[in-house]
Amino acid sequence: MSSVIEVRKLGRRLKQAGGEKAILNELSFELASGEFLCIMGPSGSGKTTLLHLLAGLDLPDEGTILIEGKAMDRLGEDGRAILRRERIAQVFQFFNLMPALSLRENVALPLAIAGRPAGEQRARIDGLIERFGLGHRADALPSALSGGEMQRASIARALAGGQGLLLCDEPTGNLSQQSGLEVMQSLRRLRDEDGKSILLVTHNPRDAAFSDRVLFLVDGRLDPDHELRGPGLEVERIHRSLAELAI
Amino acid sequence: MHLRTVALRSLLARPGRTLFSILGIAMGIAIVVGIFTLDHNTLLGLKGPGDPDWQADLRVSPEGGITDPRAELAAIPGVAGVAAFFQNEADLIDAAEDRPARVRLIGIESSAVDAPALYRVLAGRGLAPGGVLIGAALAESRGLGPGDAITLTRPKRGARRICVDGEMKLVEPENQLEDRRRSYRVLGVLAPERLGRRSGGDVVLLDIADARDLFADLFARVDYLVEKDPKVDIERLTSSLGHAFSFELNQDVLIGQAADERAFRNGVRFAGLMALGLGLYVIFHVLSIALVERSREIATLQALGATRRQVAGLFLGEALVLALGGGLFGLGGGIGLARLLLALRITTLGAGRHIDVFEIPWATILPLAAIGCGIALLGSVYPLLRMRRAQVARAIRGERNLDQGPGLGFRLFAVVLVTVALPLLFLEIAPVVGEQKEAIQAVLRVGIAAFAVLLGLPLLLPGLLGHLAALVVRLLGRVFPLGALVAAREIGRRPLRLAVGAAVLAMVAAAYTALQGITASLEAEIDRWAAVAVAPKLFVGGLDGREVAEVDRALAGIPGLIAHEKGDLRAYVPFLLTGVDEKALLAAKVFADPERLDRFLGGRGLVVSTRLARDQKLAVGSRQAIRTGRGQVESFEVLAISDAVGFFPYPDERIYAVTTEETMRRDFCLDTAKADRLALVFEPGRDAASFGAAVSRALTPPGDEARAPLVIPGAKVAADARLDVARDFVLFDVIILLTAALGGLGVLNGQLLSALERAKELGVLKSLGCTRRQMAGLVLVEAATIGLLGGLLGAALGLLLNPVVIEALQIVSAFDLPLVNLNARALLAALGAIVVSLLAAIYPMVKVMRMPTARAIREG
Repeated sequence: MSSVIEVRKLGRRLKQAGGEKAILNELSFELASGEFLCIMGPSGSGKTTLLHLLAGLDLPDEGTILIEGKAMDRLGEDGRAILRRERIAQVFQFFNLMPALSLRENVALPLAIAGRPAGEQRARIDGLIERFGLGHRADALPSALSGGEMQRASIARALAGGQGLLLCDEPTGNLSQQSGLEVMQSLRRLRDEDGKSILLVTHNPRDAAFSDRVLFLVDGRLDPDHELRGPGLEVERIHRSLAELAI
Repeated sequence: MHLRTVALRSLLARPGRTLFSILGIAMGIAIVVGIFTLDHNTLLGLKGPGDPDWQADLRVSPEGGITDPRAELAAIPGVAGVAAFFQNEADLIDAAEDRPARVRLIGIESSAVDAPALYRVLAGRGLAPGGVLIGAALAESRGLGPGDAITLTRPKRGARRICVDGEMKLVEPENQLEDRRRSYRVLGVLAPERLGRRSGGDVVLLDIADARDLFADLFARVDYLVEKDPKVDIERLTSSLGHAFSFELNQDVLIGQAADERAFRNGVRFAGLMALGLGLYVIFHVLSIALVERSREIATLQALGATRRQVAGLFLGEALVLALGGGLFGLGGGIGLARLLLALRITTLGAGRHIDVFEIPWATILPLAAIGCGIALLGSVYPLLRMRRAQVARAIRGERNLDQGPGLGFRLFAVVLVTVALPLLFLEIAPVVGEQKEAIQAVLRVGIAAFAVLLGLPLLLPGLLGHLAALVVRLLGRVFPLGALVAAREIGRRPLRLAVGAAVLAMVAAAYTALQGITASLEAEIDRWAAVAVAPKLFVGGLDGREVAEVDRALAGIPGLIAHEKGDLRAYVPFLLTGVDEKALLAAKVFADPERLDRFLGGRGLVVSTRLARDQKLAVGSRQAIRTGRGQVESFEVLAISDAVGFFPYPDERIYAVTTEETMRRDFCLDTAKADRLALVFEPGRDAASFGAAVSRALTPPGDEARAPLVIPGAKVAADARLDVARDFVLFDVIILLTAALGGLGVLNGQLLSALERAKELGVLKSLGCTRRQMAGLVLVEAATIGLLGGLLGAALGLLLNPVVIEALQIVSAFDLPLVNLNARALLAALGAIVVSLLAAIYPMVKVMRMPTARAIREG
């Protein structure tokens, strides 16, 4: 199976008043095509920083990131933007929907950015909205949606561009338990039915249990001894690893 | 969906912000467009249709004894062009030898390189010796054209009516001209403009040497047509001419160009610049905050694959809509404002003048509006370009980088743009009225520096005002403890917003205080002048040319009457020259030195008013050339500078000189035995009202109340003059009012954004039990702090600037202005700033009170 993401000796430091602090250190891992990988870690472990590096929103101080064989650090800012547009979709903890746009328009945004024709947009977007059970709210503004609806809209938006890789940053962090469950089921279906490659960062063991493999990020390093592999990851097993790592 | 939709939706989703942003830009542009449209129409309206017999800027006559007047004139600063000029009547005979046509013959220098543009040729070529140019009407009526031959003869000289020793006499020419005729070739036909308009186009232009040949015996006096250099002030030119030349000034040249008018017009223009700067400053700030606030949206777009160019294009589109919307509304609003002001008879040369023309000066106002739009555009796009990757990554996590507001780079950029680039561009398009003297430059520099400091410091050092604000908040905390607590934290976190709001109000308060300083000084100057010039006098009009001796007899019984001045002894030379008798002169105590009094009474002396002395830079001992009613230029000596004699109201003219009654009779043939109006000088301490009543009784013909004279006490004249100042400055009041509204808009925008940004924390306060009243208090305390701080700073700055402003006004005008205590007015300015700020807080306050708590907490 080919790798969608290859990370080699990745390092990111943060400048602070007293010097530099390593946020990520010597990080190496791969995400195979069609795999659902979860990276767990406590708050401040560098999970979100890692996602930003993978999305090309930030650049590493050391190491390399290959997205479908393309080295991120060799691309300019616009090159990375186009890579995101074509290959990487994202789902955010805080949804990040445009407050002025309706749900339909939010979902259509990646197509608008890519300059796709309106006809193509409509057919694709309506299908996505229906798929996530949001047809009746298509014209509503984000302020009128519930948290679960907003996150499902956010996932629909992530699928609109047709990218094969999905980076998810604590997608259930702002949702009720029921809404969170629905969102995770949606993500799992994307892996199983659409063959999407998914990288999820979370600190929630229930969310991690939906993945094929779990890596633990502690103090900016991946712990090689506690990697968990599916299928059928049990929440208790994840809890045990977390306890062993004192997370 | 197209990406443009995002920009459009963003504008529509925030209608308040969109409206207030457009309004801010529009108001700044409208004020400046309104001012320039008003100024253009003021000058246009006052110039009127123009003299049908076209006049040059000045027509100058040299005093006898000047050997080379032309060379002397050309060396005078302010003279842009000189042409020797001679005119007379002549008879034209064409080849058909029909009856001769009586034409106006004008001789000018055809070869002078510095000659002003005196004519334009419609057909044929320019003037050269041996040839003539003929007017269009003449060419048509006689069927003449280029190449035709004509003959000119000089007509017999008629008697001239001139003033000789006090009598207008018909004087026959001493020697009749011999019959002389000369033939010329028609070189061209004059367009019906400038000299081609003279005598309705029945005009012949020829070289002055040819004119000399034709009219040799009449060449005792040659006048000169002078073109004024527009870059030199008129009084500098006339004061340089004054010692050796008398001159007639084309009044059209003078409109809006007198020293006081220039000062007024420049003041109005500077106020316009200030308004435009303030408008852009406010909008800059609002848009930059809005962009920082929207950093999460920008980051999301980038995360979704939008390139920086796409994002920039998106925000540029939004900014374009705002800037162009503001520009269009500003243009329309400005033109409407000018129309409204003209309808209310408010002009850039004072109030009460009727202007019945309206023309839009597109060439000036379009570039001004474009500057406004351009700078607003730059202000809104720049923060976007400054966004860094790190900010994107942080923003996407929901970490809004708001505490710091726009970065130092942006703030520096904004300061340079608004306080340096804007004034420079503005002055390039609309330079100061009048000469670019060092003094004017200095005044401009001080004004722009004050503007830059007041607007620049809060942007560059917001913490400075933040500390001052903390002191104010502490004071307010005794009355509103919760509001003060929250306001103190907010100011500590985001001092910039408060600093900008306070700076804008400070600017308005400072401008108001400075304006009050100007009007107070002008009023004080009137009081000082009135005490000397009008207070001990009673002005009597409507005497219908009564014999002065008869009036004297009627008034003889009234106690306290010392002397009288006759108001009808007036000549314009070109300033007003009037005459007084010895008694009035002694009553006014103008001369302490009896020898000077004797010289004055000798007939070639002048007492000049203080304004004329300043305007023409005359001192005791200066000489002034005056053309008498006989047509001769005589030299007069300035023997005193005083306002104690010679002033008459209606029309007010404080630029004048006084000579003896006898000189006015002898040299100007004015009747000193009769009077239509008089100024009666009465003893100090005498009650003006009872004195006036007695005069009225004495001069009213028995049983004919309808012929009662008009009696006006000096105090009324002074009061009217003070009223005129207030009325004339109403335009500044309008500008200050509009600028205050602009300042209020700035505060409103800032407060509104603050409320929206802090929705989450305000929601938490509500959930903790804050009442709606307490919530309103939070906004009001902040607004009061901004108002109080801005008001106090502005008032202090206004007080500090007052001496500078008055000094500047003295430099640019002919006024000698005293400084006046402004403390009470400064306090009023500070209170005004607080009121404006509190009014501006009403809308944000309502927003905060109506904010849905649950959503505010959830969404922030």
